[in-house]
Amino acid sequence: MAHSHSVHDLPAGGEMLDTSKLAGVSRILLIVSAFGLALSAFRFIFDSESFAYSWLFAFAVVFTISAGGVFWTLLHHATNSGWGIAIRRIMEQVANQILITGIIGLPLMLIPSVREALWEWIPIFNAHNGSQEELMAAHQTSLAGKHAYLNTSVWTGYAPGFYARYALYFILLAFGAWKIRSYSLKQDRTNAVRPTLSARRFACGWLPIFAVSVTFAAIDWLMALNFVWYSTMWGVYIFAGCALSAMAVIIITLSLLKQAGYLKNVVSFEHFHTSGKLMFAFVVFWAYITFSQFFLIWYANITEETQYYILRNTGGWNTGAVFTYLFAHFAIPFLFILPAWVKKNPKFILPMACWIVFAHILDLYFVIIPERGPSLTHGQDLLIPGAWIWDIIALVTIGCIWAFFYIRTLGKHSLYPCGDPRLHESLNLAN
Amino acid sequence: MAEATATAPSTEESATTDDSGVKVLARETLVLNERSMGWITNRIAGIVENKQPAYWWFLFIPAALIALLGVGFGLSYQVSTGVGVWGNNNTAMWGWPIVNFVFWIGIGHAGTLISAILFLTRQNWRTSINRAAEAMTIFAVMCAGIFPAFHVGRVWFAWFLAPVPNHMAVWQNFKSALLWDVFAVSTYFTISLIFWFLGMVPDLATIRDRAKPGIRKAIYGIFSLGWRGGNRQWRHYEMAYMILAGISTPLVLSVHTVVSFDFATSVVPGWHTTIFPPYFVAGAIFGGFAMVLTLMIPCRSIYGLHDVITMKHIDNMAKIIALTGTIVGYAYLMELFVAWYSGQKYEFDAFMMRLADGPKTSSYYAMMFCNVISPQIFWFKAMRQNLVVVMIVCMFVNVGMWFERYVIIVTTLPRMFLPAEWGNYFPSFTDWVLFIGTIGMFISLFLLFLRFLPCINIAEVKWTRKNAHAHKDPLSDKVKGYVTEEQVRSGEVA
Amino acid sequence: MSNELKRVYGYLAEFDNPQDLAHAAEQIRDAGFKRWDVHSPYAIHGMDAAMGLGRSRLPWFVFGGGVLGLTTGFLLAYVTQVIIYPTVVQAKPVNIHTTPAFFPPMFELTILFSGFTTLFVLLALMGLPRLNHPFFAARQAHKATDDGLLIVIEARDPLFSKEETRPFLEKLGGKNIELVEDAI
Repeated sequence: MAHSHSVHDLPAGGEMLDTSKLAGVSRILLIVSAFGLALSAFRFIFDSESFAYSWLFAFAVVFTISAGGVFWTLLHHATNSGWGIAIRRIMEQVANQILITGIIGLPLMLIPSVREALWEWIPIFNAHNGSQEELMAAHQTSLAGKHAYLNTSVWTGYAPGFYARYALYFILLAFGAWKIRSYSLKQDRTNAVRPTLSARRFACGWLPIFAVSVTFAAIDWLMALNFVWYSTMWGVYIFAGCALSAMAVIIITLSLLKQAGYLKNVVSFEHFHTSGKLMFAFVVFWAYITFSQFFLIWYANITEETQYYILRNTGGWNTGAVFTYLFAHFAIPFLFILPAWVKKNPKFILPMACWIVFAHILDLYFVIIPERGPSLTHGQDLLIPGAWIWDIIALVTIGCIWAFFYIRTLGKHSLYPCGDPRLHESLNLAN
Repeated sequence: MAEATATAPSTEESATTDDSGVKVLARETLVLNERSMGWITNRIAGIVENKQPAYWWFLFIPAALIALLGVGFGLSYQVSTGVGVWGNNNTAMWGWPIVNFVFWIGIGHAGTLISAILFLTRQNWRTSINRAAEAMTIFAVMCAGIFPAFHVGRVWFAWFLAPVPNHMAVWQNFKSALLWDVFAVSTYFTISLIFWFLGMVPDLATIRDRAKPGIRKAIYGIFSLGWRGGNRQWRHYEMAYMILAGISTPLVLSVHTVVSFDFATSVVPGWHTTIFPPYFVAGAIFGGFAMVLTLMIPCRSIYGLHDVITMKHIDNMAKIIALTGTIVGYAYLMELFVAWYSGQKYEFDAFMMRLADGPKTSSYYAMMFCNVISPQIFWFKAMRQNLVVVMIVCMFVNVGMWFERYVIIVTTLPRMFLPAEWGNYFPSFTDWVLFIGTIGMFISLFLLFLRFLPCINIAEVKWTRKNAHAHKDPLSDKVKGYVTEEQVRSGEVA
Repeated sequence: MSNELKRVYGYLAEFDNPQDLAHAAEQIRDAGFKRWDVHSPYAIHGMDAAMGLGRSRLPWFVFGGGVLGLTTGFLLAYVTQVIIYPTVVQAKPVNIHTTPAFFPPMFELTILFSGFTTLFVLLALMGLPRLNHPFFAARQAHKATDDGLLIVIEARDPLFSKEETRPFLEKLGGKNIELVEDAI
């Protein structure tokens, strides 16, 4: 155990990631992303509608991870925590990827053929000149009723419109992530204590804003893929995935850094144990939320609601859904992360954290992609043949872009908040 | 720094050569005035050993009378006459009994939250309040259990609820939310009792060892199981405690989830909504925390426990109330938003009935004010530190959480799909008697608990003392750069 | 004192603070004692390592109990609802696909069985309940539940010696050393 670790033993100014050693990795990431972007452009030219779904899927993966980073950073400050100071910089850096994520997602909003393929309400809305009366006259009652929300104007009369909301979510999340890191960076330079108190106050205030942003982002981009369907649990469901996948990415980062010899006297097995426990908690929480949502809809058996699950239970989706929801996302991680010795060892927890990210990707795949076939073929086909390859290409492309910027950001600041007045407490974590 | 005269060994020597200038922010202590272990034992065990203050009798006698008359008389009347004495009618076939059932079950949840979830998240401040909160859980579940047990009408057939082979060869319907309730509530009661009892064993041993030989020593001796505080016992005990905390956490979630399934698995507009499970759980914790504070603030001043239940504890609990109140507010608003967004006429109308043109709309606004708006005052530290304000808000929350269940049941059922079946609901005299009776029962059981059992976890409070463990606490000594939050606020330290 | 026969239970020593106690425990562990214990009013963090005790085996039993509970819950619901008395209600099929509706009882029984396993296996592992124990013969035994940090080295330990164990404990910093004798 790390008993006599003192903050005064650590080098002043913290520890920097040696990016020159990672130059090769960065170059590979850059080449793969460039190649992926070229392929994506190719696919976009030939089948923009199908590819829209691939891009949304890959975008949703990095968005949930980054938003989860914002959550963990804010939560850590708001709860006045001490345990995770040593790893908090990693949370902050994951959180600050939210800006690049917002840029990655811009094509979804800006390219008409893409957004119209994804969100079927947009072409209907445009076809009726965005007028509630015309929608009503055309028997689009469901959409007419949602006129004050599913609306492409900048201001719908009651709320910001669909595109404006996209901008708003990212401005709010990115500002929160940037501001909360800036307190910590200030401490790196000045060793002042006051920013800790200011950050706590800021985090408490920003958590509700985070919750509202993620909820409505989830509704806008994912739930509205089928604008007739609804679930009050949706925001919580997507949030559970955010928190889980972000913690997995934080653990992966820490584990790799640790194996590369960084953070030697800063991060101990106790930090892995605690963050592993939080990841485990969210495995269970996610399962709880997902099961409850499924269960209530399955049990009540109301047509408007069951369509979501019926689609994901048809044809080949059935086997995949059972594998994803029951085994990949719950049973396997539950059994393998449960023992303490797995959580404590960076080498064991690394594959489990990777598995969680994989399961999370599958989860989002099942949220987004089953909508594609019926949407694009007007209910004729379940699947678009061969489109899955492009889903993977989009995921690899966006994943590499994200990872490239992530490594770059990691290299810009110390790997741990070296001026934090609670660092001493975190170094001596014992649980 | 003025306080750099370090007492911690070895590490300080290297620090003098390399002055990184990093400060160390102190934590507030959980046991004030550096109270010794002996003081803690004396003060807490003393509550059980000494004569009770007059307050105790002033509260106990009326509470016990109310319990006797309300629960005793009320139930006798109801059983001998029939469940028709309740206010339930054809349209509002569920009324106060289920409101009270959900209300009491919810109260219980904070006990498990404090003892289990806060234990798992290493919130050491829980040690001063967990025992009383767990006791509250047990008593609240007992109060809750009365309503479903007696609603069956012929209460001597209540055993039909249990899955035992019987002469009719019929089995319970395992697809029914009401049977799930039976499993959930009875498991919850059993596990809470085990958790409470196991947690109390070392403290019962303390009282046993302080008692003079006699009947008292014998009784506490039997219940303390022969505990002798050996580390070869502690190591299994601690593991058991952690496991019980680990299984109680999903349990507490499941109990209110199952309670929410009573409503949400139906197709009734206003009941069938997917956010019900987490929303019920958050609401239960919210209401329970308010009840813990309602009980602990008077307890703290009557028994002089200010050094153990500090303002820090109250501050933390007030923050949790603000947090869970806001989560509940999120759920209320999300329900409203989706009721509108769904475009389902019945769904939206159900909420319009609650808000504007149904029966008892005022209860919706009472709920909103008490549960969502009133706790927002806890954003201000001065308000969290003001016991009068805290008590008032907790009272609002207690009332508000009752209203929440009232809104869910009594404004929904009389406005179902067919206008022809619309009606209204009014509680009967027996409803009032039973509800007030359970309040009396809850208070008298809690007072008896204060009288006979250690109301604060003596062993765990000792556990949280400074330097109580094999290795020195990292913040125990005023290490180099040691500062407190007060110093920062006053501007003494940047 | 009467002439009744007494049996030596062991030596008891008190220590000033948990750090000294842990230090002494390490020394006793390293000296090779086997039958001894540390008595304290609360669970001391780090004492298991100081005494050389491993992790409790309790979780394995609880895992077994939980699996048993899960199986019981499933069989109870499935056998009664699907096999011996098929109940066609709530528009749910009478086959394996109705299992989600059984999840609540399955879950609750998992927890219930785990809880009972925890309680009973814990009592078995601790060797409790018992009505008496030679430890209680010590004049200072009551300190173990109040404010004393005690170490007891039992006479049953092969390394125990009435003459040498006392100075050994003194050397470790033990105070108020007492020879615990239990009436037979």
